[in-house]
Amino acid sequence: MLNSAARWLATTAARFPERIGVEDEWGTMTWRELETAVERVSTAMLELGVERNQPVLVYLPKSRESVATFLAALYAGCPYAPVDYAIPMERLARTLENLRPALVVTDEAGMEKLGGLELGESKAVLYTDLAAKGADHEQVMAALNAVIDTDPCYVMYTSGSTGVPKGVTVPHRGVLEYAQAVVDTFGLTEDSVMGLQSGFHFDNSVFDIYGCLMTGAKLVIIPEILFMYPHKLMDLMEEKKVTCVFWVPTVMISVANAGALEGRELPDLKTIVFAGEVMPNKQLNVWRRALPGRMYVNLYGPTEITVDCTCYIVDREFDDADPLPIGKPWRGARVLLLKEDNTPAAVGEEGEICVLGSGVALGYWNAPEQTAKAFVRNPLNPDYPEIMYRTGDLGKWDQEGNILFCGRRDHQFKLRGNRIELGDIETAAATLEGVDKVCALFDEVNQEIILAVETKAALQLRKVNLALGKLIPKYMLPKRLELFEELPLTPNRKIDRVGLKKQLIG
Amino acid sequence: MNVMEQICEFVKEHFEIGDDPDFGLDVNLFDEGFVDSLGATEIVLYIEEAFGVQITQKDIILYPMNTVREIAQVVERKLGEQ
Repeated sequence: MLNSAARWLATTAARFPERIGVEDEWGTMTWRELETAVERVSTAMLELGVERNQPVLVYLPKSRESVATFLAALYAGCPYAPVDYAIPMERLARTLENLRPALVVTDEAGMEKLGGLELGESKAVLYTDLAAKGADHEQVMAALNAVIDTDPCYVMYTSGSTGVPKGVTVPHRGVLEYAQAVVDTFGLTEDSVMGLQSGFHFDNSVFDIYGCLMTGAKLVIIPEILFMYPHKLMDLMEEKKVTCVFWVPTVMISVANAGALEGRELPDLKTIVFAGEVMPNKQLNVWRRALPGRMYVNLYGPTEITVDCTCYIVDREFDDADPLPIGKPWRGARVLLLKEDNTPAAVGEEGEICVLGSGVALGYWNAPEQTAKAFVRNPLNPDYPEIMYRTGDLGKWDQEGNILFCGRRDHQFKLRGNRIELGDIETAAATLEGVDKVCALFDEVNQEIILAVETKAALQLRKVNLALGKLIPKYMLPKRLELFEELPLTPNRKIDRVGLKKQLIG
Repeated sequence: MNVMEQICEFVKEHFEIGDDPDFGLDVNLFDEGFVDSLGATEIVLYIEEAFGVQITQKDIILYPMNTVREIAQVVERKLGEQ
């Protein structure tokens, strides 16, 4: 087995030096150009004094330079931590505080924004400066050779219930094994073209980046703006001859709802994979009827187990009301469904989805208590050490050995593929002027967030969201604001979430 | 009515903005919460129909269309090309 997920770059660049490796809205890079950029940036990083396993935070637009920076960090023996380029400053500050990166790689506009933040020991540098220097191949190879497969490959931040984002830390071995499974299952080759939807701060991007890196397939980074315009998005898919996509269901739904598949053949598009939230059959059926004969795949998994751990290849038509299975354990993953008393659930019984295997993350960066709570010893094998991740998701086995997803145990939910903790929204909303007390709710039917606020002020949704948008990402903003003179309480004086939900959603 | 006025009228009416004092030709419709992301497609469908222009995916990528003024500029440019 290889020691680093970045190893495939050299092999692919040697096989296909002149073919386009990565393409974005501003231009293209051949595999050789990518390798050259990576070696240069990596050399500059080492000259700045980065050491093995020190993280590099990447604060760049969704571009080919981002990909080059990730791989450069890996060449230098460092994990990369991608953040959304649209991240609110307050959240970036909390991320920096937790991560304490050796370097922050950014562009001119990012540098300006970073000026107002406390960077501590971290150095902020421009990508263009790093890429302008010469490469020292031997120095870089020495750093790459020192990596071992249990070293962290990336740190990705997800919503935490107390308002502090958690940095899921995934080792190389998880990525190496995941990419191999992706390539084998979906048949990626150098002739494949991946249409990347996911932001790099979201671990679905690992499928696209390493699937391409391993095989020489072309990575087309779809411009973010096109996801607002489904018809134009599908124009781009035709023009770029995309063969495989891994998208969140929200995007699939908006394409289906907009009628953007009507009259299209998309002959190149062979493989359509989705994960990140529940895919409704209604829209899946729109896709299957408009584009028959393609491979449709439902994957499931939290960031903590390296992207996905179960796989369901859709093999029949589902009625709108039927549940679409998340499938069987896939790749090296083992899945247990455990009941409250830690015993295995029988077929048809609900249990918490728990995952074991080489994909399990190392833990949360710089957060030993949270790590210890979620990454535990396997209770079914108590005498020997074996780490198991408790997802907090509920599932049950069906008669065919597939798992059906049954929701969450806590206040976490998924919206447009993003993992959200209601506590994260409440913590931010409580700091706003005029807000005395607050309760955030998720309306599953309409797929929207409701914010219930105790206040004496005449707050307006639009203005509340402008203020909240400086604290939390856009996808967490409420769609509905409900004002109360007093929020309802339970007998032990806690906010009555259940009652409130009934009152507001019905 | 010129192109910009026509687009402005459509946006105000279609998204029920009324006489909100914060609204204007240069306000970012999406960031300021006047139009949600689904509304973007509705605006493009409207201008393609009303002005007989074809907005391509390249136009969307190259030119910002976040304010009424920016949307009008894209339409004017397309009309000029015809």
